[in-house]
Amino acid sequence: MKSDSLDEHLRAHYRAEQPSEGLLDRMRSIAELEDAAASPRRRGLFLSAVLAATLAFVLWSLPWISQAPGIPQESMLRAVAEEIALNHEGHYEPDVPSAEFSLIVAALDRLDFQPVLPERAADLELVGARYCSLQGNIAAQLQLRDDAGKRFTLYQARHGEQIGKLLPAELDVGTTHVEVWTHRGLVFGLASTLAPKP
Amino acid sequence: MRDELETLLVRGYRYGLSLTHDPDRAEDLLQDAWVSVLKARGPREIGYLFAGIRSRFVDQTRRKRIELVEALPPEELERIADDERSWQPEISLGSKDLEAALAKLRPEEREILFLQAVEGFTAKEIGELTGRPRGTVLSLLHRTRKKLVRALGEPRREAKP
Repeated sequence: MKSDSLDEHLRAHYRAEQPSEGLLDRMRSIAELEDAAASPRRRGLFLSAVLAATLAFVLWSLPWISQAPGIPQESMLRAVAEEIALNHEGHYEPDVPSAEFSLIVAALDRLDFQPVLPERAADLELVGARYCSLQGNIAAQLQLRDDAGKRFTLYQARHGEQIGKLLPAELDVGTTHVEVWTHRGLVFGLASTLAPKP
Repeated sequence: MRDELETLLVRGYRYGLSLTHDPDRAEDLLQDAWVSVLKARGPREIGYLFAGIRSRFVDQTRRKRIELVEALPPEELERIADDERSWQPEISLGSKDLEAALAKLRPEEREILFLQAVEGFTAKEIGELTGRPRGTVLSLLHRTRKKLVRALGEPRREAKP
């Protein structure tokens, strides 16, 4: 039993308390990493190390991504592009013949997503739209043309697990050029007819 | 020998402990606040670290435990300020008695006692950290000391000179 002032007791009480050594070690390590990242002299080395590690991981994981069952990147891309090309070359009549995008959005009310006009199509003129499908998913086909009158079709659908893994790509399928990309939960495809070879 | 960084972290831990009265939660608070200080490239200073710890604690408790304490009239506050400087009740107790008495206090009460008695902060500095006017700090400090002393049992009060 000791007889001291209240403050002395409080000081003694709290000063006897310590965080665990493990926590202190972890926090020192975090500080050292941050210092290394922040130091101009060492930043280059640190970033190089991070870059090298990232590159190594990407190189290591690429074969797994492309070969893993259920995620056949190339074959999925090919299948999507072929389906888009088929739709493009079908020259189907629009379900909604309108240049007004808001009317098209309102009319295509069976879609399970809200159609959008991507930046890639900003310079093209809208002429109509129709329903179609991509890999079994309900899709919209927007029909467009450029200033020269060249015909384009733009596809969009909510992507499933597999189709969502597609990386942006461009490829030719027969006489059709197809660009594919994904954005905010949708897969997009833009198709146009290749100029005939001389 | 303890380095500067370790001293800073240990003080942060003790401050977290004064708020939570729970060693595990105090470690969590310290770690979160420390990572935040480093990511923000903030100064590795006690005020900055304490502010980070406090902000996380308040977020965790969703501000529901932080209660308003009404300030006393100015003349009463000055009397209390003088009193606080001179009134240091002598008490006899074991560490478990104090531990149990501290557990009965609210977080903001333990916090204010810790900041004044252990860290040596002035009422103004405590007010800056906790966002309270100096008068409110003094009121809370005064009431908290009384509450703690009651919880410990009646001490022998020293006559003021």
